[in-house]
Amino acid sequence: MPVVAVAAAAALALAGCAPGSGGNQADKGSTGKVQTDVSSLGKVTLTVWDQETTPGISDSLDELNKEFHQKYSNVKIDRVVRSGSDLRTTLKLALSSKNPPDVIQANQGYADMAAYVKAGLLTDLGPYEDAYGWAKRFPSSQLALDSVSKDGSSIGGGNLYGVSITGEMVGVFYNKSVLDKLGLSVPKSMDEFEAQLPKIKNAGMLPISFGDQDKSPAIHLLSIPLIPALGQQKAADLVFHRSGSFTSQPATQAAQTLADWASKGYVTPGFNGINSNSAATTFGQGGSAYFLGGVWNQNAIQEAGAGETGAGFTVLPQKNGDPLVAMGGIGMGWAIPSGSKQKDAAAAYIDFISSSKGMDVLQKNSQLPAVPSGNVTPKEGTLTADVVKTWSDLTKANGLVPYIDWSTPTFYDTIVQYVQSLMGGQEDVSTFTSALQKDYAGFSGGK
Amino acid sequence: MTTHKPANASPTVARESHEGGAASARHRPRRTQARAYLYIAPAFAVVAAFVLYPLGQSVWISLFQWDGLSVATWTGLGNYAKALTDPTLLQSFWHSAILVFFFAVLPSVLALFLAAVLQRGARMRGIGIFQTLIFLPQVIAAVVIGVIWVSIYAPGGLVNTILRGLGLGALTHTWLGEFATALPAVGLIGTWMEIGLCLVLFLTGISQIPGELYDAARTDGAGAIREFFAVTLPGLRGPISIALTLTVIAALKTFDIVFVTTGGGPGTSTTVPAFQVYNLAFNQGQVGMATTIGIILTILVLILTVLIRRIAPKDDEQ
Repeated sequence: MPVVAVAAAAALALAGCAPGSGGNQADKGSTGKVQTDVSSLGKVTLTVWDQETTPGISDSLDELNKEFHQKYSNVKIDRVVRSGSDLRTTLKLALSSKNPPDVIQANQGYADMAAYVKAGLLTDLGPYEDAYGWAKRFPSSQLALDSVSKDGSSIGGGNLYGVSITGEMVGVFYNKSVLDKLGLSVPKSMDEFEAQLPKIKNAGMLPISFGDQDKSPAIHLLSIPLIPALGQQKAADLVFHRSGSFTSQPATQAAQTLADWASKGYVTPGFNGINSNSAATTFGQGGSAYFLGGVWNQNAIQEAGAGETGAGFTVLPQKNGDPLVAMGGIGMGWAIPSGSKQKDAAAAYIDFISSSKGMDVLQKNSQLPAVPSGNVTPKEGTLTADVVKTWSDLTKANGLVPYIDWSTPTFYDTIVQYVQSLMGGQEDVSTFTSALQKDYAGFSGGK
Repeated sequence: MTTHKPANASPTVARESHEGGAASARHRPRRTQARAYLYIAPAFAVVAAFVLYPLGQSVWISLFQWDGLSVATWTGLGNYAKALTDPTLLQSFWHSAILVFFFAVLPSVLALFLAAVLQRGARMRGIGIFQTLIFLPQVIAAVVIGVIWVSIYAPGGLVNTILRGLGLGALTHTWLGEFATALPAVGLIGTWMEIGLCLVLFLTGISQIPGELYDAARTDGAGAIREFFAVTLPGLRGPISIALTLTVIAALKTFDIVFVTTGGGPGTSTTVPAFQVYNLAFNQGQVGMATTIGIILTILVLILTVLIRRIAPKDDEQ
């Protein structure tokens, strides 16, 4: 029987068809000229694939879709929601099919957005950017995150292939009553933060609630000491392969910090076997002074008992008075597959959901809009107010640094694996930094 | 002798399929052979279309460096060379070998012991209920099993609570989060899953061993242990080979349990080949490499299955 399998392989070999050579690379449905008058497009059904399954943002999209249809009654929106990993695995097939969706959400980075661009599967949004004035709407640092070089070999610059509507950042959640009880004030720098950790521990309280079973928290935790030590410019240069290395002094110091936090008991014991959500819950219940994570943890913290006002959020520079800096970015980029036959309507839809109207709807539903319009102001003293204010300050200071795992296609795995080993006491700091550097240096990043 | 052959061709084919089947087929009239092919044609067509053709396609893809989207680059056997030298990938195959112990060897041994004991209590009231309960893990989806065991192994979970209750607080661990305990912890989930399957197979097997053999053994003065090794174990060669085949394959293709409980961590201490296939293909965009590991895994399963089949009694022994 295996003979047949071999025969099939041989037949494919004779046909000379390398995998991937049958795809559609052509730019269909593009008239060359951009049409922004949606009502003139006739009856259109837009198929939109997104991965926003959490209630707040999903409700926002439903609301915006309804309003878009009210504005342009000739456009019907067919929304298909898939969970993140589902979308990721089916998107490749869908994009290369004859009838791809008209609007999708593409994950930034080499394995996804850049790979789609390389295969010619996404529409260059440049003409729409000009027509709709997106360059005025979004800071250039945000648009850069949705940009890829035309050949797909480097990210962080080049042509625009997506537009993101939400913001994300990693920072420090603090429990107000725990800090009060210990007589500590909210730290204003990493130096202050680190000085507090032994005091909290000596007072018999867990300093940082941390769970790393789901692995991605490893990257967020590493960013907390690493990014402020480098500063925005050097950190961004490192991620985008412009300069720097993971064996540099700041990177080595950051690795040492993580190892120390683990060995001195500043983080939850057994963190490698606890998932991030239950660590956030422990913090929300008042089980620790701090939780280091992303704004996506906000819900779990509030629901665990911190409520709207029990916890606060901030991002820390290295020293008092240094400019704000934090790792973060923007939600997945809303993009248009090359094979879409309704590109003008798709672009109008993306313009609509990313307009100030869209931002307001998002904020009303407790989401962090990429560019808060200021029309909706969250209640003073709430965690949401902290998050929105920090985001605005961070954007103003141009302090956003992209996720460090964007550096290479395999970096996510390398980092999460070695952070678990480093903090678990399996590997020392020099093994850690050289393993990261080996992966980093092995990928040219478009150079 | 030769004149008899066409008359009872079919049983001969069945018997001789192992040795020299092809040689004797040459002497048979063509028509019979053509008809035989006709009979297997529908089944073959289905297998060829849905198993063999995709398998061939996989072999073909495994010879390329391919991100799943753009045009692939030919690497010949490069992926195979890398798969067999890359320490992380080799490590995942080694983990599989350890899991074979937990998924196949351990449950088989335990189930043999339980079967021997249960056989003696066969007339116990409610035995059917116990058998059903022990078989239950086989019916539950592996993802659900994974989620259940995550909470059992959690720092404040059942295992640690029991240990503390017994005053053995020093023995508590974050079972799935520590480098030394994660892989055995995952393995024991497999043991729990597969033991019911083995037990049911063995109990059925025992019920088919002629009672006279046991009578004879007892007459000869054999005790329970002697009886087990002289009668029960040899009589179970068939079921044991089936149980081992199924559980070894289950061990080698484990993905869901690892994915749900540890995601391959901490570090790389619980990665398995099937997990690497998923990760490489869908997260890292290395479809060619992922397919290569899939093919190697397939070859391994085939070899092991053939070896395990040797435990089974030959047709003529029965």
